[in-house]
Amino acid sequence: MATDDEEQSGNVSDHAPQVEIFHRVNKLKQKTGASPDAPGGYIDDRAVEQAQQVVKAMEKDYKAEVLRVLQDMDEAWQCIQNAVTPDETATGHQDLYHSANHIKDLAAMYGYDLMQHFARSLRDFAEKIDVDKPKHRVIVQAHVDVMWMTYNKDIKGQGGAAADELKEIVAQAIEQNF
Amino acid sequence: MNEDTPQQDDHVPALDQKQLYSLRKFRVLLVEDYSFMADLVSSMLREMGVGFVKTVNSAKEAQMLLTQYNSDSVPRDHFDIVITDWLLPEISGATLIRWIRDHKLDSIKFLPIILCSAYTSEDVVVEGRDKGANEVMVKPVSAEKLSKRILYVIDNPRPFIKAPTFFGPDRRRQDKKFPGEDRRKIQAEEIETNYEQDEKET
Repeated sequence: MATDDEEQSGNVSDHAPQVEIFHRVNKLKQKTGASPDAPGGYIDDRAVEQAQQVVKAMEKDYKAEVLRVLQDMDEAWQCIQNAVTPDETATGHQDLYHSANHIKDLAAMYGYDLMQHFARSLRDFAEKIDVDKPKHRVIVQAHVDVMWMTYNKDIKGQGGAAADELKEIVAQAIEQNF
Repeated sequence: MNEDTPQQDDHVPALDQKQLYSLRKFRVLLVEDYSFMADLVSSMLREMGVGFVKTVNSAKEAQMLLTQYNSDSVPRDHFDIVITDWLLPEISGATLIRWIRDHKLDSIKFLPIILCSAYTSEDVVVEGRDKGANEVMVKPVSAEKLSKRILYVIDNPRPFIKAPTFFGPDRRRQDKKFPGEDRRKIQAEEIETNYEQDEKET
């Protein structure tokens, strides 16, 4: 293949094509050691299973990791509330958003559905927070509180009646304040 | 959208015709800002047999490494696949993908990209492909999902399309005849096809 766009198109006149299609040599397949004519391939099932074992093995770190990110989230929330400059507010927003997103990913991976639910809700709300509105602060605080409760009670899965109660707290905070 | 279903081709070869792929020569660049997830995914890739995994926590660092490694004239040092998170601090995964697709070097602009997204909405999947991602993997990550995405980029290297408003892998997954009227604005004579010549690695 030519090395620059003009050579690739082979046409620099007024009638340059509107669409170009590039068929590339399949270098990935070459690297697998498979024949280029092979109709398809597979990755060793045992290797895939071993990879999944990594996920299981790291589950033991879930609680400590969520605790760490919850603390980061608290810090970000404090930062937003105490911010003096727009830069501080923006940094706090970004940290709160990412912390909530990280907890959501972790919780989803290990079946902590309730924690995932609150973390996703907070992440989505974090995009809309106006800290000058006290009602918005109430909503964020409600999320933070129920996430800590969910963590402290170690609620896995949907969590049954206790979870419904916590969901209700957040639902009411949003309904009354947003 | 179920992200697993549309990725199957009409023609699926029988299992006994398939070959075992070794990923030992693969070099993967993983862009993930969350260290726990980065450790997890990189360990999974190694368990699957990927020979070299480099993890960076920002798009900026990814740009630096791609510029450094994939500009090199020795193809064996090039990264082969980029796996990037969608949500990254400062420069987003979407911006990183555009940077790759807009790059002047073939060894960067044509890189297969697997985008990881925590968002499950169809809009994000579509946006990811519109930005130029080859595959979108919705979190939570599992070994099965990850291996499927890698297999898909190996087995289904879609041609790249350069159009006035898009450069990236062909977003159509199946080449099917459309029974209705052809209302495309670009006619066949305005399409040019380029075939890359095979070249031996040095």
